[in-house]
Amino acid sequence: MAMTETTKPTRSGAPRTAGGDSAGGMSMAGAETLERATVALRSHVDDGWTSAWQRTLERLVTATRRTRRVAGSSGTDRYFVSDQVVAVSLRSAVDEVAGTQALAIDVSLDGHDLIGLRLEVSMAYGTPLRAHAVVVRHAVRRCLAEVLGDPAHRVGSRGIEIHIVDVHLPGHSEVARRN
Amino acid sequence: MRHDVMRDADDTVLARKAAMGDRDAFTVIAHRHGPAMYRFARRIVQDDGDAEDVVQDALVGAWRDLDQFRGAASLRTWLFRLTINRARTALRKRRPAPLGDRTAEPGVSAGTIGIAAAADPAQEAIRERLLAALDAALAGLPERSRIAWILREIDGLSYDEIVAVTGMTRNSIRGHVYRARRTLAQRLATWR
Repeated sequence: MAMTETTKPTRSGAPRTAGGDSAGGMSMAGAETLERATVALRSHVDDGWTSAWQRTLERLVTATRRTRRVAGSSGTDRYFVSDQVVAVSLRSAVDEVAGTQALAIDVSLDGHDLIGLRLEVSMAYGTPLRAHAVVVRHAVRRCLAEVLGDPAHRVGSRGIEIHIVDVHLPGHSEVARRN
Repeated sequence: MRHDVMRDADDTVLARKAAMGDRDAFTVIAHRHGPAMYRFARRIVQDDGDAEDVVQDALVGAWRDLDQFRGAASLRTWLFRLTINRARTALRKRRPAPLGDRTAEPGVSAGTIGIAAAADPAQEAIRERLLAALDAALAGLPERSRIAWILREIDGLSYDEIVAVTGMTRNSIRGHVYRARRTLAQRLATWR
């Protein structure tokens, strides 16, 4: 093993140059080899990960989140839906409105009853915001009625808050849909 | 397939979608950051099976808590923090085995492992041996130095990001990185 001079880091943390055949307490040969090894490791993917990926994916597919139960009903039948399922359904419904992207969805419950929704959305640049917010609200109501049935009607218009928190450049699909 | 559509989406967009329950978006996150998380975990716990458990636990934890991720740190930094927490838990379970006191000779494989395909088999073999030597040298470093060096030199995190991942102070990290560089260079000096 190569012996090198002992050096201390400077105030900035950079090693002092010791001169001779070493730099910062490192032999030049060692420093060069370390640099090559470092570069190699940066682009390296362990075999262990390659074989673990499929098992990881399987575990992720079955992983569940902590959820709250949201009551739904159809006539006299009562059922419960996870708030995550409600959020996923709403995200899809909002994203299907041309020029709109759901950014965050917060579901408010009183016990198991849905009492409010807060949606943060981004709208495509140039979209008439007020008119578009109405379209989004309709899409949300339709979605809630499909997922939760009758209780959705109890969420009044003030219970659905739509916050336009960002604008984005319209994508190709949005331009095509608009035209 | 939706994965293909989202493959180029940035982390912020993917994290937002995943937080709203989009598993495809989270799969892209896992596919993008999993290799670095595994590489990091593997070199902390120094065991393939434990590294797999650590990364799986970290990713499942990330999936469950993504709605609490507000983007104050980068997604990558957050994932590394989850990884190191799980790795430390794994190490605590199997103490005592002071990693920092272990020494390893360059050239002795510490479990390295396959190499990304290279065009030239001879070059690939050299690269494989070089990585094995580096892994052996890394295994001999104190745990904190190893962690700081990997995050700084391999994953390119800033010192502030390493503070967020490890909880160490900035000065401590600088010292660990410096000492790790010097020790690794010394141990690799005789490598051929």
